[in-house]
Amino acid sequence: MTAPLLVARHLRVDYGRTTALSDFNLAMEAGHLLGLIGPNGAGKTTCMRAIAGLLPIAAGEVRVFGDLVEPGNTATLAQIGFAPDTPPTYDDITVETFLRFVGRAYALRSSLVEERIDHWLERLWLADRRTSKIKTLSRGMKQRLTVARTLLPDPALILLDEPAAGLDPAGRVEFRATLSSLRDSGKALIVSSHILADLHEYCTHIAIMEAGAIRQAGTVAQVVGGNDDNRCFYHLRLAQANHEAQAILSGVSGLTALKIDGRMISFEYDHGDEAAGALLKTLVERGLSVARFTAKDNDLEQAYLRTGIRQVD
Amino acid sequence: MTSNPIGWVQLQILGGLRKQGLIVAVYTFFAATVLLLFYRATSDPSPGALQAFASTALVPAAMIQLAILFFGASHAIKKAIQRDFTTNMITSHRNTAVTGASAVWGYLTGAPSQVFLLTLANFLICQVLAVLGSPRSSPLVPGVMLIVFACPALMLLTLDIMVALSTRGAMVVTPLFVVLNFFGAMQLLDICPGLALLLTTLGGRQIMQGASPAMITERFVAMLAQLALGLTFFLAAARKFQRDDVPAFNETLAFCLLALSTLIGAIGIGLYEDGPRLFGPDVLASRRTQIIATLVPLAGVAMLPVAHAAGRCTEWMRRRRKDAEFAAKPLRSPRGFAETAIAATAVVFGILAACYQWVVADQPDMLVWNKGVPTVVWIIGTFLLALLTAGGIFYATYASGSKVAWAFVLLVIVTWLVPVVAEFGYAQFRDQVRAEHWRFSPIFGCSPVGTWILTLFRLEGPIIPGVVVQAMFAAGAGYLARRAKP
Repeated sequence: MTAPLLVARHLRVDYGRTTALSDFNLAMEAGHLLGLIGPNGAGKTTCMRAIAGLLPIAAGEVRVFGDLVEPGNTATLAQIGFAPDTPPTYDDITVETFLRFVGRAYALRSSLVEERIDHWLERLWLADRRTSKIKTLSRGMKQRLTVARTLLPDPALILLDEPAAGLDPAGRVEFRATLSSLRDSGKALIVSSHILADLHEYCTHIAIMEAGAIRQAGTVAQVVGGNDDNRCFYHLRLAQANHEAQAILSGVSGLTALKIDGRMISFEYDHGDEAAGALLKTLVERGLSVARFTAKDNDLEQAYLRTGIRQVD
Repeated sequence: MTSNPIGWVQLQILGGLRKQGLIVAVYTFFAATVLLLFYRATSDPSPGALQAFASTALVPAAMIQLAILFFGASHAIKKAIQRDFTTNMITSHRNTAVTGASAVWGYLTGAPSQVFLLTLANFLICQVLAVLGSPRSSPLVPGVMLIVFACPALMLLTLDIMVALSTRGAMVVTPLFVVLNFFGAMQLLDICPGLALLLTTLGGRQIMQGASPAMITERFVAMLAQLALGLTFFLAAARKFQRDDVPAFNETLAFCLLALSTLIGAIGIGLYEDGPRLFGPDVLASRRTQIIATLVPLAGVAMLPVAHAAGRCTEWMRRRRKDAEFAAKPLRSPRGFAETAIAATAVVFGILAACYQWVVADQPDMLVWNKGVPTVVWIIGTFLLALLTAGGIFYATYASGSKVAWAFVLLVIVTWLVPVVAEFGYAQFRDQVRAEHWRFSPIFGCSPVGTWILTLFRLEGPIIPGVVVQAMFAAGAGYLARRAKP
């Protein structure tokens, strides 16, 4: 029996007296693509850096293919590709020289390096900047170059920290396709991002983090469905502001997560056309002049909001 | 230079081999033109003028070569490592299959590649001057200098890499060593021959003026010592490269450095030849002063394994507290700082005892009884007490999560320097410094250095109160360590 691709057990990372990650457990197999979401400071980057062996671990362990990830264990570290959120590059050399350096660092054959450089530059829309100095690239291009650098040695486990942060809309579409194809080719990926719609599209698993711990985790369907698959979010716009809206809506049985912002109202209620129709009828009968009424199918954004996690800066 | 990935990329950042070749060609042309102009301006067309000019010009040319090698290479290494930290490329390197040793070799050969090529060009210029200046100057001088100075260069540059990796590229030490060498080597030779053995000013002077067989032996020993230390620093830097929290010296490397330093100190004393002194009073050149001056840096080096033991113990305790699985494993606890302090003391005095013939053979009175105890016992005892004090303080510092370097500085100031400075300040105040029968106060012996001076020179003053205070320091540090919660 082969060892699992990645196992992180009871991981704990401390920065001095502050605990940045506590009791983090994770097991991944080939073909898994885990999306890490959470507010800034939730521990997403710390978690990735600890898995990549770049941070000292106060407790627990990380194993890739059964081997401990620790400083000096270069054979295991070489199985992990990590792209940090700030692209690490040498500004004074060209894109191809930089990637050749990465190929040398992994002791790859030069013909294979050239082949992979061609492939990834083409795939990440950088082919026409091959001989450009890195300092002339935009932030988005540098971000793509960092992804190319990470994928060039063909690692089994890929960790991408905010990879889509600097990408334009077209780049994001292309990038989603790249990640899906990597997932389908049997790589295990962990991606942290604030763009939840993208994660919903290509992830197989989701972990919602807060204050250095996993708040909720599972397959995308499990996380999106939450505890109750029969609930969903409704958005409502009134024709004119109504002071009694709060009282009226609070009086509806089964209506939760109510938020009123002037004429805009959102809440959680039972899922389905029948339930929605009955609810609309009740609201109109109680005197609310409804201008727009929409039920939104469950998605990752709602699942995240449902956790009640707020950004604390 | 080009097969190592980090060395290769550093060369590419500098513009590649073609650009380097161009810079070397321009430098060589410029230097040759300047020499030619100087020759034309200063020499008459008499026979032997070229020979005289060439042999005279060889000295500044050699000085330039050394300046390029030491300052240039050190600066290039600092810049390369600083760049890797500021661009976060260090994370990228650490995440590749590059080993620590390969990375250090890359920094050593790639970052200063331009400097090495300029050194080579300058060497060729020196060689031409030496041949033209013959027989006033030996044609072998530039070659011998290159070999002799390559060893300290290797030692200092590997130390630079280790220090730069430890300080995120903020610091290197070669410039400090070079300045120390220029301004302090003469005095150091007399006071601390082991340290002088590692420095090279006299090596250069010997080469220029012709060396005696004894000097050649000394240089050969120095080169071996420099290479051995260079290898130790190289391995330490390779460890430090792996991750910021990994200590450069593990227990083995720390003890290797301590053993090497002790051996070099003993050999330095053994090779020292009495002669006319250039600076300072004769007492500075006495064997007793040399032993004290050798023990002081050795105590500093001995704190390295002690600090490592303290750090590893706190880490172990911390892990046991936070990691239930780790706590449940029947693991042996790491060696404590007190045991390590005893081991370090044994290493230092064991090697010094093995080198007895070199260190104290002609000064047997140093080992006579003093206040009812042999002098050597006072020395070993206070050396151990100093390490135990340091161990306790280091443990408490690591446990609190503070920087141990500051604890070291504070420790040296409070327990080593303050009693000595206070004693001399007090004596100055009482106008007793030049008194014929100056009796030291108990304060002086509170410092280990004070005890060593009192016992080795058999000076008038109480020893026991000072040693009691040192023992109280060690007990206090031990108490702090026991109370500390990692």
